[in-house]
Amino acid sequence: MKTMVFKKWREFFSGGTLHESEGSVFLRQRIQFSQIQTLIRAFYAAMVLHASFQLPEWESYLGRGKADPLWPVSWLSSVDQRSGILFILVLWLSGAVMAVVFTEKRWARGWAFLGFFFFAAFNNSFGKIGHSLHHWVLISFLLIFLPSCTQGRMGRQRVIQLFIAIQFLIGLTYTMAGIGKIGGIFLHLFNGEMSPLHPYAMSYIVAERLLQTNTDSLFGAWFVSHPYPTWIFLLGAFYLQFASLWFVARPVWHRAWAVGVALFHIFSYFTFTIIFPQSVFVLLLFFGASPFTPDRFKVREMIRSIPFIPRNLL
Amino acid sequence: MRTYRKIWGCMIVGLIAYLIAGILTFDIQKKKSNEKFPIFSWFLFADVPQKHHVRYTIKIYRADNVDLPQPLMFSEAALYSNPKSVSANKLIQDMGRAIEFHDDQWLQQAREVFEQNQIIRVQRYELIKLTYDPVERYQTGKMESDSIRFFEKGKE
Repeated sequence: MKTMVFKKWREFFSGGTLHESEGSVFLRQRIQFSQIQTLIRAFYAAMVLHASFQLPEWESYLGRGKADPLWPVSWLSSVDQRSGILFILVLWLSGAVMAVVFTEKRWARGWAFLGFFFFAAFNNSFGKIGHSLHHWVLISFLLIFLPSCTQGRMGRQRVIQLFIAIQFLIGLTYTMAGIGKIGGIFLHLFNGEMSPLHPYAMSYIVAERLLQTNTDSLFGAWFVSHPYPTWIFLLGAFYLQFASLWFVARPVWHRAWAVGVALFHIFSYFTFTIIFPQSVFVLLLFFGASPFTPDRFKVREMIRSIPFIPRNLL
Repeated sequence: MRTYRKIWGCMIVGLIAYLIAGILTFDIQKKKSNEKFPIFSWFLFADVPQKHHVRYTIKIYRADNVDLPQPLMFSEAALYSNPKSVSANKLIQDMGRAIEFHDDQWLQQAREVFEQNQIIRVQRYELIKLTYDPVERYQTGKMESDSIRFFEKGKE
């Protein structure tokens, strides 16, 4: 009786009836496929929202001074810059709208990619390449390759495969960030310098970043004056980033990992004043709502599959 | 089955290619970035600033065609620019490094973009090299500065 009540409660809070379909592989494939279709459309809807939020900035984009154009918009130097920028902005907004309306059409997804790619390249053509738009560029590029025919098991499976590839690409970028930090340790140690393994490392990184941008942040002063607890955060971020690919390979971790990395981004803003809102969105969309995550929160399975920690220790 | 494998194969090759291409864009000598948008190493904050950290900034002497009564450091020049701008700071570092590496073309490129987008109202400024311990400077403001070069907009 007790078990029954507990089961009912668990079902109520997990809100899922989906687990009933776990027995059927093909039904599960159908459900995952339909979830993926919704997520992809939501991605393009967010692109429209992003483009719409930029409408008040159009005048400032059009009035920008001399650009040092990146290769995708190198043609800007040979046309009237103002007209070229207007073309990019219109292409971006219209492409995003088209991709929401005609998500299943490759030409619409191609249009959305091209518009966003040009916009991101133009926006980074003024001396500094920022990286907050990179995830969206890469994802919208991969989405062009969604199969045109999604009928039947084979078609659905190809959509699922492409979605998994996008998840792995996102994970790869975070793992690369981790590789860079681990490489940095060796490089600094080799040069006899203070490396991230030094307890004062994070304080130095935070202080330099805030000096660099002449800003102050919510936690900045505390981070600079409390090196030891701060350093623990740095090591935690190293692990979270480096292990990303491994977390992506464990669907049971998708939601928790996405929330963890999103919190890392939010925390980075309050510390470094660096903001990656587009990446936070992508993480929560593609992993927070991952169609591969088990319907129930399986804590024991999660603990057993923490990357790089031997199972016999858990 | 064959098609599945083919697709997985393409994906794995693509991911490895992105990894390799990304790592190749990293400039280990800390000179000029090799980044080819949208390929990137993602090596963000891999570098720990050291106790004798070097950074460049500018001091503004003339703006709106008037000599300023007191030269203004870039960090205090909110009236004439955006001292919080990451791009402005990157361009100033590029100018400093271009002079350090005797790369005139790089200097010219960075200067043009900087002058035409970041300090539109400024006519005369000085590039300065700062040496400091980041934590000490953050807490006390202590630093050493050396003049590198004066620039006048529109002149060599």
